[in-house]
Amino acid sequence: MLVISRKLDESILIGDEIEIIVSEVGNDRVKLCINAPREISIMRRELLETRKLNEEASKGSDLTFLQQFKTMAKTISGKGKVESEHE
Amino acid sequence: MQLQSCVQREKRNNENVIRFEEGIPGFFEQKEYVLIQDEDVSSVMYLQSATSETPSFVVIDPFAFVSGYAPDISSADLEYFGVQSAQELRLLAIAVLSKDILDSVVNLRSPIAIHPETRRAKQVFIENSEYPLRHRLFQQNG
Repeated sequence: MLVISRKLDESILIGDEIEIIVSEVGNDRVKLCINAPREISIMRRELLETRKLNEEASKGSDLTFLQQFKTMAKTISGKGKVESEHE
Repeated sequence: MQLQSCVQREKRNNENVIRFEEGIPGFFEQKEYVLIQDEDVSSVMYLQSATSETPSFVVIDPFAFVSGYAPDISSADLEYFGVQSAQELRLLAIAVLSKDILDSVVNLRSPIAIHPETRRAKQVFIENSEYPLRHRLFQQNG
């Protein structure tokens, strides 16, 4: 993987038509400005992953495993037993 | 499961129709959904398209499962709903049921946010990255 270090207001070019400019640098985030042709699709990675997950979730709508899921859910929910994996 | 008849009933009872003006990622064309409460388990619900059989999601109340779940809703999203804080919104997490039920996951990173009065809804991307897109709901070592 190519790694390039950039300062505020500096940019990188991808091909002839795509420019990514560092427009703001904060504590834990950067703001990027992107110039690209309209036909180039740009999205946050989470959006793509959420879309995939949604499609998967809806496919499971035959609900074969629902009863088992509900039984587990009933046992666990409300007891505050499950902690988030990443803190 | 008699989801379809439930949907018809809930649609007549127009109160329970919620509207995703921007659709849901993967299903942008579907705007109207019905939220149906499971009869046995209060933390389990169904988010079902009001106009067709799919999409249909199993959703859960994340607060009932994940202690201290504190999603940071972006100011842009709060503004979208016209609220001051996330507490004014109802949040639900979409579940992916798995054949091995312990592998079932819920999306804590992009919950469904619903404004209880206007019934506007949106799948939002929260700002805190500690909540995974695929959180195993029934982890053995909880």
